[in-house]
Amino acid sequence: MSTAARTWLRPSTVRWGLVIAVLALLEFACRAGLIARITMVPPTTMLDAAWQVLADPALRTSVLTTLEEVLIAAVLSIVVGILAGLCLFRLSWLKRLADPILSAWYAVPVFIFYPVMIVLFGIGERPIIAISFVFAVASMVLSTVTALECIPRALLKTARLMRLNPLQRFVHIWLPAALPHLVVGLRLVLAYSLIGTIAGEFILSSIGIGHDIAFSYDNFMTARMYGLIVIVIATSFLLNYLLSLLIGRLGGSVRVLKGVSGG
Amino acid sequence: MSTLPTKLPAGAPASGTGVGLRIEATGLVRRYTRADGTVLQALGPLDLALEPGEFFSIVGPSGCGKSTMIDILSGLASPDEGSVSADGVPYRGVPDGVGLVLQEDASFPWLSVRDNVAFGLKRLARRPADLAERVDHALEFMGLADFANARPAQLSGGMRQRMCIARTLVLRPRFLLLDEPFGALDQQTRLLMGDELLRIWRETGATVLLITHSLDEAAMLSDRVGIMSARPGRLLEVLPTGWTRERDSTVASTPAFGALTGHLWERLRGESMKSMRGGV
Amino acid sequence: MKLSSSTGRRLSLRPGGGVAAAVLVVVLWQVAALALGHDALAGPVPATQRLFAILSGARYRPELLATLGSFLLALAISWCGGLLLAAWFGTRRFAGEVAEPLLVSFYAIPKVTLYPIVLLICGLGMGSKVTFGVLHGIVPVILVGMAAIRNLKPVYARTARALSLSPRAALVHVLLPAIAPQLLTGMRVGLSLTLLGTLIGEMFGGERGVGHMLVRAINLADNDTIMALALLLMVFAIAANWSLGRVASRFSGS
Repeated sequence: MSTAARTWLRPSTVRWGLVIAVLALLEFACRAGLIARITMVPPTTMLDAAWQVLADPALRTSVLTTLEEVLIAAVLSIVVGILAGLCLFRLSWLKRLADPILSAWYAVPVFIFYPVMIVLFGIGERPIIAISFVFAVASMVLSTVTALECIPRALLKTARLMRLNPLQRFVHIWLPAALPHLVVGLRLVLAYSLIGTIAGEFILSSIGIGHDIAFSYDNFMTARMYGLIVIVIATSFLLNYLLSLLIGRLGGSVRVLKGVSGG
Repeated sequence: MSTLPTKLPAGAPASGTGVGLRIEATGLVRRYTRADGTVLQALGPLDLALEPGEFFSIVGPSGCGKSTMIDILSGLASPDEGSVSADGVPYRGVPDGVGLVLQEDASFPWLSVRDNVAFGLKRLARRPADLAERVDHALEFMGLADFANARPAQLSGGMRQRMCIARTLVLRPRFLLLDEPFGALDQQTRLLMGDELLRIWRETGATVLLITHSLDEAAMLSDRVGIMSARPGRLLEVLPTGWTRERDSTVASTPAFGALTGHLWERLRGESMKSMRGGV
Repeated sequence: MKLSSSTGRRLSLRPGGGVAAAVLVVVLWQVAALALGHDALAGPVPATQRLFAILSGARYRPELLATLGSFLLALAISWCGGLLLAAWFGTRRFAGEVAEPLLVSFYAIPKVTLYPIVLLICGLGMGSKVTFGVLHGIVPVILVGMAAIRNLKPVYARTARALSLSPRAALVHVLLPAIAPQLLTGMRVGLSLTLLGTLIGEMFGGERGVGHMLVRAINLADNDTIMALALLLMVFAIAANWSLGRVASRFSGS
């Protein structure tokens, strides 16, 4: 491939090209009637519907409710996750006990616990936040343990050689060394919180965007449904992108990917 | 059984320069317990005496406990039996004036080269007033002045190691331990770094203990060379080299060098084979 | 990692850790059931009894088989399709670079939101269940597989050439075993997610299946059945994961 071709045939260009091509195809197919309107609306209509959703105060409240749930679940997961990770790192007997449980955590379909959560927390935001938390926290615990275990022993030895006190060791060695991995955990927590929340709202169908999507679907409000879906997808992309920037600034190329243990 | 020296080699610095510490280790023993409960003796009983300001190398087969010994001498670990003392004062834990350069990369990737080198100084209870000058001097001394603002990830392995040495030097150690510091470098860089090390030794006057598996390196750099046995590691023999203080890597071309390395290998070969069969 | 001292930590490699964990979980379950009362949460004993009743009776067999069938089909597609795509993207650098961010972004989307779209396109029934399972499960297989192929150390290929192996022999005897542990990791995640997807599909589909049974039990406040099904799914998922883990260890030699 010649250099000239190579420069403008970058992966990102091709990627964008593909995405736009697919959207254009859908737009055409929908407008030409090849796809029934009840199945899908043209992408432009989706965007318009999304805009209208944001303009509608009632729906806006839904969006904010969902975001609030996601944030609460995420913050809880991060705090509890880091603390639990620290404990596991320090207490090897606890880690031995927890390892099989953590490995199995994401193997089990977490939604089976919805009934329990409803009983415990009633209806409304709380069971959704609870399930979201359960879904997301394990990834923070695993990331924290990995972060702490991945600190090269050479750095810890150096800290002791320089006779740093425990506080200095924590602030000047542990924290900066662990940060890149912890940020990966953050990314996973955010993704899982979003997934858990939306899925929960969808299944329990009470409040939030998930409920609105289900409602729109049940009532054949196709355009609005797609509008809401677009908003969810856009939010997911946005959060992902912001975190990628953060990861890039802090530790460079740490691979994202699954929150299963060892991942 | 270890053999303690009775006479300082010619060319060793006169005692009383005050900088280098006299290090004495007596009867050091260290054991580990394996998962199945068996006890492994990794080290000892080991006796070692380093004259103030001398350059002492230790060679030994893999797994003989060299790194354990370094951990104990630097104060990072405690022996199960025996003791170490500096200038006659026994110590446990890292004493004042000890510097250790590790084989692994110990650079802090989140700090610049300058901040890495300044790290130890900044954490002292009392920051020295001439901190910036000392850091600059160390960077110059190790040839890193042009890279002061770069990150360790941008440096080669050899340069990172020089940076770690600079970080240690800036604290003015009186006892400098080096645990196979050039292990990850290629032969030519090793030879150059060896000359660097001699320069550092001459300028600082510190007592230097170098662990290496390179017989050539030990023979060309040191005042005395100690040979460690296979596990459990003990000091089998100590050979004075007889080089002058102003030596560099060119001593390798002298016949005495060949005799020395020949003798080292003769003594070491059996131990190495023992260690290899032992599956260490 | 070196052992650190004569009285230091011992590295424990006993498999008993899993059993201890299982016991712990059951104990906590029982405690929670006692604390919350049977109206809220069925304990291990009633749940197990109900599970045996479900499994041994003929009444629920069609539902269980329906789930199993959909799951296995979705799994086959996720694994085979996933591995093929992984091979394709993994060996073509440009295609891989184009595809990877798309796949990663797709992975992070709450796929539940796509469910109405799938329903609209596939209609109710097994088609949508399987589609949903595949949507969930195929992406990690592709991503992990791609990474495994790209990160394959060149030394393996060179060793194979040095031993004068034919391309097929090299693939079968050297390259595939080398990436097998990672592929299996991706397949494990794929399995868990396919199960999740199939289940969620059933919970909405109104069709037969374990998910549907679960929704019915929730609506009837039939706590015993709820926990019985939860137990069934947990055991199944953990057992499947564990077996794949064992296969992976065989290849990685650990």
